[in-house]
Amino acid sequence: MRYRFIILTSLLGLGLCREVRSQAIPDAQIFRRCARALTDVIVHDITPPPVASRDYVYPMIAAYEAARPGDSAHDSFAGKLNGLTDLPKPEAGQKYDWLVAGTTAFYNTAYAFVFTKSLFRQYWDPIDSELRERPVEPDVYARSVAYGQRIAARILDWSKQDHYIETRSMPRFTPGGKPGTWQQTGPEYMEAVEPYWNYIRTMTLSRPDQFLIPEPASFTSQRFADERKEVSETGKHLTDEERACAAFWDCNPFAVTTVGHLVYSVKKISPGGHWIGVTGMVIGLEKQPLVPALYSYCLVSIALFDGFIAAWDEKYRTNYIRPVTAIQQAGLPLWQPMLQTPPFPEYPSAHSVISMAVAVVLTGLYGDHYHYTDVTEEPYGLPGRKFASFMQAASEAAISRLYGGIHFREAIENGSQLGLEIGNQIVRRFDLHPVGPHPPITP
Amino acid sequence: MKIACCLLLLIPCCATCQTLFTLVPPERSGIRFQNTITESATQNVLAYEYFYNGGGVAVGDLNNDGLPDIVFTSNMGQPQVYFNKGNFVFEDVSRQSRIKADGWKTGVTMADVNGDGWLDVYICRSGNGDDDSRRNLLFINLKNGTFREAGARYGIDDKGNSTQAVFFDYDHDGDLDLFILNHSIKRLKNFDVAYMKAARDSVAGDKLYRNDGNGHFTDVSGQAGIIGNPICFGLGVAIADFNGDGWPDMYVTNDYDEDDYLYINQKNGTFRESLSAYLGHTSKYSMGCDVADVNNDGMSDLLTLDMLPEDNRRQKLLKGPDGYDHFQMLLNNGYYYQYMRNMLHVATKAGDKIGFSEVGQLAGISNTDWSWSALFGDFDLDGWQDLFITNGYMRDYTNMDFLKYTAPDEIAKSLRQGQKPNLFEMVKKMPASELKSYLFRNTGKLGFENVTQEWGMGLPALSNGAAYGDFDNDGDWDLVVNNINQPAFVWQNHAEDRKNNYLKIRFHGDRKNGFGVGARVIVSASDGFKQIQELEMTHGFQSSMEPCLIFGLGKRQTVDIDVTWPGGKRQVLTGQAVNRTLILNEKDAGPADGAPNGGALQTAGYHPLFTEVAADAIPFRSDGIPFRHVEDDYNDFKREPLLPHQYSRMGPALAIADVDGDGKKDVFISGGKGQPPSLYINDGKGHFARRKVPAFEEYREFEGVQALFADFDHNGTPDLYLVSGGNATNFQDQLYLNDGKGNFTYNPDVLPLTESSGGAVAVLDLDGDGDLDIFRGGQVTTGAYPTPPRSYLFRNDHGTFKDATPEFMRHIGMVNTAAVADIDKDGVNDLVLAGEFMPVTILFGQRKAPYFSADRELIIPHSSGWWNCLKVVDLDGDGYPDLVAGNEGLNCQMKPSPAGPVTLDAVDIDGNGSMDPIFSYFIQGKSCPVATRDELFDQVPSLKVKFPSYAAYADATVKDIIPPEAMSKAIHLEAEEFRSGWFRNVKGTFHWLPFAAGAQAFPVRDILIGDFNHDGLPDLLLVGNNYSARAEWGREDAGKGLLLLQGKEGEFLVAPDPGIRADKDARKVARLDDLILIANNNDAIQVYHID
Repeated sequence: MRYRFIILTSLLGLGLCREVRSQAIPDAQIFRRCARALTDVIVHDITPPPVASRDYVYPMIAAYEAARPGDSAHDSFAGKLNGLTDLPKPEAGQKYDWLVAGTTAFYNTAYAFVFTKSLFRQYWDPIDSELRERPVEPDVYARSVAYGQRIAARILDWSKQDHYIETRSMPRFTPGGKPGTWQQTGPEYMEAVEPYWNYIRTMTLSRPDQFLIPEPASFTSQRFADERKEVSETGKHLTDEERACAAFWDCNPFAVTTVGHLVYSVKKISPGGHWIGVTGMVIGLEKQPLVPALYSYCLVSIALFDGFIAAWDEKYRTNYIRPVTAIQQAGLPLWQPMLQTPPFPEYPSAHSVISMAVAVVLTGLYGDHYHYTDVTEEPYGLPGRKFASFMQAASEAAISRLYGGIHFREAIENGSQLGLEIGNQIVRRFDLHPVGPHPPITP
Repeated sequence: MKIACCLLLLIPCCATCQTLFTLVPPERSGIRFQNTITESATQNVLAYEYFYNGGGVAVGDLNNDGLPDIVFTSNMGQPQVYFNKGNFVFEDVSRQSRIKADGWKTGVTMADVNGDGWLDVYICRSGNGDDDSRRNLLFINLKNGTFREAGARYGIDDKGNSTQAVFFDYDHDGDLDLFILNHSIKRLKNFDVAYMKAARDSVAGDKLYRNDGNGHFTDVSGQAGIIGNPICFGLGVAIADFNGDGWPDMYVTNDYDEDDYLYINQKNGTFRESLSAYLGHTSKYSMGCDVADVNNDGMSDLLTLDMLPEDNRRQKLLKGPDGYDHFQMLLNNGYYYQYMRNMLHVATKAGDKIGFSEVGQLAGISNTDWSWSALFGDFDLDGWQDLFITNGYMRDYTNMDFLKYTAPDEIAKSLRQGQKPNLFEMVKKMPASELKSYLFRNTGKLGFENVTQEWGMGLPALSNGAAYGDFDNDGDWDLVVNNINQPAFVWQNHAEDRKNNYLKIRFHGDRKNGFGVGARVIVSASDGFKQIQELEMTHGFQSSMEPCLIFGLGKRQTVDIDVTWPGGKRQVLTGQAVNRTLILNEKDAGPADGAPNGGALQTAGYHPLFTEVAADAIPFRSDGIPFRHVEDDYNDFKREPLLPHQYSRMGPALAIADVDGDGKKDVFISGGKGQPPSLYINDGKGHFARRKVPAFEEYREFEGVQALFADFDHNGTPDLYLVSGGNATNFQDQLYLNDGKGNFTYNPDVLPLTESSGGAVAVLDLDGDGDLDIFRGGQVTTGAYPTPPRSYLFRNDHGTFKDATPEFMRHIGMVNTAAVADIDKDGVNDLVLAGEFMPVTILFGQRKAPYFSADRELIIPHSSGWWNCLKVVDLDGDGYPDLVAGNEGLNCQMKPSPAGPVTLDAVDIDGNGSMDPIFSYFIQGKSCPVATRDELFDQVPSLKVKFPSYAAYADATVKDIIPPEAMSKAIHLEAEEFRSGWFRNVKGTFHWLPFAAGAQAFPVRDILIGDFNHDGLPDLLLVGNNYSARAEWGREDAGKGLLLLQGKEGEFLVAPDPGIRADKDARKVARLDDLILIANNNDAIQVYHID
């Protein structure tokens, strides 16, 4: 399976002649490059994970809505996502190139979200030149672009009502300083990321706290002491396999490394970017046509988006202490987690929430027991990992946070439960099969 | 090399216009030393992070031929030894000397370690090698031009990662002990600070070795109280008698997060780290340091270096100071107030205590980029200690684009190609920042001017260690500088051309300290000149100086000399001739006379005007506890990150009146939010009992910032007007009516609504009806700075107040102060207003409504400032009221002038409903935004699109930040004057007379006027400070209470020691009979007695 994937990518690089290319490369594969371009700019911009999920979801929905009329089997999201209504329709009886319409909508939407626009344009230019060489009549091409632009404009209008802009002017978060509450963590002691993300309009959830999970263990309880001990002891005796697992799922968009005065960062795709990559991979493996491919991207993006809102809502409600702070306070002043602790409160593990939500969606789309090798982290120097199902992958993503020393077990287990419920609500809404209880999360 | 040759050619043709310093090129001097750094895969900055710190220089007469010689250390090469042959010709005797050192060499110092009258050489080593490669080396002088290594025999072959060593006699037993400044080689992050600070690391930690007097030293670090933890990164050490008790104290600078240390000698073989008791804040990435008497007051001052660049571009490109949260986090974890810039701590005196005011920015020496060595010396011999600073770094590697973009991109590229990222290759591509050293001339007014170019030193280099010595014995300091990958600079000083006089002093000490290390000398002259110097060999960075002192004397012909030898022996020589070398012998000195401090604390004939009322005798108490203002921890920056300072910390208000009609003055002080105000009733016996006022308790959530007593209800007793301020909510002012017995009640119907945060209040009779009306100024618009807040004019209509504010006064500015006087002498009250970004504004009153009008307004030209307080008083006794006003001062990065104002452009740039205030000020002639790229993005995220890199923002001005269409709607404010001073009213015309430099060292918050020295002329007592400025700017805490005494010509002179120490975040000062009260924000009240 991985073999196929490699052939496809190497074909892209060979500069084959136009006819061969347009036959050899399915539309969905071209779109995967669009998604990759967006991911690369998101990484460059050092986009925090919840913000990245927003950067994905609107462009993906725009692409889907612009290409969807080309496939009568797929319905519009209008009326099914909060605040999304009446989208422009294509002119009846006119011919369209749906890939051109979809990519145009995607580009125009994503362009508004990314910060380093010059870089996005730079990544986009080769895709754009290829699209311009497609064997379609100029008026069809122009009409498709125009339609894509109209959809993008509508999606952007919709996105502007999600309260993102208002959250930009809200007061910055002040750590409480009470025992058991979150404190900024080294090495950079960065400010808390996105304390008002629960103000953002959800896609499918009725409210950010639609699915409530139990409160975490009280700071003074024995249960907390046990969990703290589990993290510190696990961290002290990590096996190579556990290290590999933690590193694979690190997904830290901005890990700052310091050597004396020399400070540099290592960037990776965020948890959301990781699952967008996995989705692209599966689409490739399954040779999905354009519209079903875009549909997969959309449902995954929606799961990410709602997952982050729910996770962030809980994070700032509980404002829970990170393991590194608690463990150092508890008499191990030199204890260090393997991974850098991300700059926001601990409970629940957002990676667990979104991984499980996405796994449920992917299982709904592509079935359980889907065997695959996840190579999305290979460009970041991390070898691929084999999984027997999406659920297994999500469980591993969850437990990796304990190995990495950045979450307690409760944050992982209850986070996974939250993700499961969010994922199941999405698959039910879009007439896919829900998934039963998630597999036990054990090392 | 190339540049040096050019200069050589220039010198002959420019003999008439010779600069103070000229370079002696290697061809002439014979000094071909250079510190060659070769990076390799195993030896580089990633393997050892102090790879680019450079080498040192030691100057001293090694062969006792009367001419100072030189030893250089090279990090990777062998040390080089040069004997001085006279006339700036040196002979390389490195090989003959047998001074040889492998491994990574750092500092070098000379000292007569074995007390035989010959200077020995001690070389420090560091690096990432094994223990033996790091052992420091002691080369004993064999008196024949050769040396023998004997570090182990003396017990001082320390295996630490050493930066430099200092030999000094800390226990006054007559021999030289050794302090070794060490550094960690691992930068730890993310740890429990208290644990780490208390730990001891035998390699990273500093060491103190006691000379046992028998040819052996003993490590006494632990028992002597020396901190030696794994997070210390020692880069500088200075020895001086900081507290004036006659014993050598020690200042140690630490790079990175660890605090600097100020070790006060306990006179019993131990030191006590006492930084926080003496200094309000320190440098953050502290590097080299030095000590000198920069203001000729007989006390040693301290300079520490850091790495803040002078130019805007490098400020914006390189990693800057910590933001608010990071700073607060470090503070909460037990670190001290540390800011990234050079700090000049000037000693100040209050009674018998020495403290320090940090005035580096006022003095103009705070920003000298990545700086290593600081050397004070009176290079032009004009009687003021000048300053030389070396700087430069081989790789510009705090570049923010590297951190955020270049490095991760390169790493990603390597990974995608399946390769391991090679960080070293990336570092090698970074450009070197070769910088010009800084040479500053001391102007004698708490200021320095940059004379680098003028004095002939404008050569860019990577300069590290440096030392001075008088190589040609002509009575001035020549300089030698150790450079990386470039020949050492030898600078010849031509001060003799300037016809200034000097006195050079050498010391012959008793016992085993033959060079008299630790001797303190005060040279004074009949014109009042007085300067202290202390003889220590180690100064600056990794270097040691010729063991003698040079006093520049200007045109003075004779001087008096007061010497205190280490151990206390005293010697006074009067009427000494100048322009010679004076040799002092300890055996000629008299016994210790009980005043061993060299005069620092001597107050001959001078008596302080105020004495402190001790904390336990403060009379303002309730339940036995003295009054303390408690501020709530509201943080304005969380809502408005670009504010210049917090507006929620303006209290307390202070007012004095006899409220109960018993003829004795009572005291009102407001509390912080949530803390009820306090009324203290005077019992006439020196006690003040707090009277509980139910209405005060009820309105405790209103933060009182200004208060005054006046009889508003015409019943003959003082009522209380209290202004509500802050920067959150609850801005309703309160008028409390007095029943005549000091019982205050509140009637909410008396006053109209006040909806802005208040800053000022004044009473006046608007309409001449005999009752008192009120002006109440608005200070800030909460959440929408700098929108002008609402100000009010309340007319008293038979005890009820009506809003009678004329339209033009409603939003007149951010008013911090208001005063009432009849400026135009027409018998009608006028109003004088000032505030932030406000000019001093005089509104001439008229009897009839609207009472004030825009066409009867006098704006004093170029007076727009950040005014905090203003008083109207006839200072010069000419019958015309003058204005005396407290401003921001000049001890900050901004130095506005009419040609280079501080500007503020504010508009909602991104349409998110929040005002985006963009501050700019002039840096090197160009108006530059204050905000860093990160701060700007925090406020206006959409600007990320416009400035995709730090480089793209590095040259941006406000016009690049605010688009033209938004700019047309922006509020535009300017401040042209930050100095405090007075406006002298000469028959109706105001003349601006700023106060002397000392009064510009802190924001002046309040001024008390009175004839404190009983000479019939009003004097001024200034208090202030500001602890809540932006985190990058840091605490403004140089204010200690400044007394300005009026002279006969109307000039105001800084009283050297008034005995007052208003060293907190002072807001108000007031007099109650013979007491002076100082009300401080979030701190206890201070009380002084007027003698």
